[in-house]
Amino acid sequence: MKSIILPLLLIVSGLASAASLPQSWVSEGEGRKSLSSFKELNETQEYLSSVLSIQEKVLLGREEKSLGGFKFSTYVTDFSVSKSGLFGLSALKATTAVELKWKNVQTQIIPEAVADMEVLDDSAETLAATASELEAKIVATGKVASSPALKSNIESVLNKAKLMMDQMEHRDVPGWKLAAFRLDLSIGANGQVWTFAKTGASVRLRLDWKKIKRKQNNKLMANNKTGGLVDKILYDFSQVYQSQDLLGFKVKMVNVGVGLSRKGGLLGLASTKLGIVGFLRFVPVTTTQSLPALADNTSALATEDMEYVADEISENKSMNNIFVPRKKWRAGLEKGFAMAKYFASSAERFQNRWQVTEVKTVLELTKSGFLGLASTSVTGAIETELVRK
Amino acid sequence: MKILILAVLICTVNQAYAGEITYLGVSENGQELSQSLNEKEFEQHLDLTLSALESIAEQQVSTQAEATSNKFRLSQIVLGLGASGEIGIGPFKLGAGIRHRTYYKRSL
Repeated sequence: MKSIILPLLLIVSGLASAASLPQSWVSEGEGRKSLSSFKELNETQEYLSSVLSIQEKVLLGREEKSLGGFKFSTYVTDFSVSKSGLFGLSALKATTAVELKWKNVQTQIIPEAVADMEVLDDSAETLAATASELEAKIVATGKVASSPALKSNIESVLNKAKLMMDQMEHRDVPGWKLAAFRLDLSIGANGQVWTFAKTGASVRLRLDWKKIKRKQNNKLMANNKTGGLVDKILYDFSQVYQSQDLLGFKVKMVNVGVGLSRKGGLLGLASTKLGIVGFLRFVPVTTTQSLPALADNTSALATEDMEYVADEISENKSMNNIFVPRKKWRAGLEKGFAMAKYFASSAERFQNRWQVTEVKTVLELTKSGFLGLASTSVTGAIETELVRK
Repeated sequence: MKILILAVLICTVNQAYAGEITYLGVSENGQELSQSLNEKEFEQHLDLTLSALESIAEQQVSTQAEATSNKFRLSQIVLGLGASGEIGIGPFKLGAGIRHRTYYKRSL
């Protein structure tokens, strides 16, 4: 296990004024809901162009200095749109977002050593030690008090993450290679806890595991439900991806995430809300858009609805799995690409020391209250990272 | 410093764009703030925000250096600040906003 990022995100809710958004963000195509009155596309482009120009000017004007061996290397800004009812299910909420990543292309970053790329140790002792360090970091934020249940539940989360990695390691996904695993933990005092959603003050911990050659062969069988879901997500992604013109960008990585958030209970913290999302990070095997055909379009892989397994983390044995219609999921993916193209086209003109080198789109689904518990929700997400060719 | 950031930054959203950018944030006592800025003012606020985040990053570098363990080695610091809001348009609820995140990585 390598890096722990401790982003001290202080998100404060505010009331946004009416914003001019691209048509592709709010229109769902023929036969579906649309906002035909939304015609301020030109204003949006002008606004975006102005904001990006100012961002570049400010970044170029900043003095480069070393902060104890660290340098300001990247500036990220994101834009998000969320809609309820988008997928025809009132309790299912979809959020789409775009991240633009400015990088100082002249900063020389120290590459991570291969020795640092460890997989999570199997031993109970190592897991306990890791849980202790995580607990200390959570408590150190001052947002959460220490409790006996906190550490044991963090250990449980780490065990499940390890199991998920083991299961996917033995699964072959045509066209894609599993490169890493990411685990996001969010503890919020109020509001939703999820990467791009509205939140109250929250603590977030992110753990990244890079895949390396295992020291021993694990005999675990692949989990068909988890693997099947990932297969379907990647199939849809491949279908949509191959039909897109991504301008000067290409796909760097696709992150498929499944998680659960719940108010109270999970970590023995009665008054807080916890989100746990495991991301499987895939890179395309080929650098072109010519991904292999995964199946014909009448196969189960292409047509079956996606089933989210909801009982992995919860203690509630009566939970039911949920299903997401494939057609609507693909429509969401297409919208994500449309957003990426819109921003990529605005970002290509910057060629100085600070450049927009990556565009990331996020589509996440959150279904609340499907267990009959209003405080529980399950989440699925797909992140697409585009990088300059 | 955090209070300063809360008071100055937080999010930009636009009305119909006319060279002005609406800045959203909260005051030191938690009251919501909204102010229209021209492009020059927006530039100054963004620069101030980056300076404030850089100051926090500098503090974190020294704090983490003291707390370094054998198991973890700090490789990057990520600091973010932002705001979000919801507006009702037609049958949808739209959340719109711009947020900021800065990365500080080990460098040569």
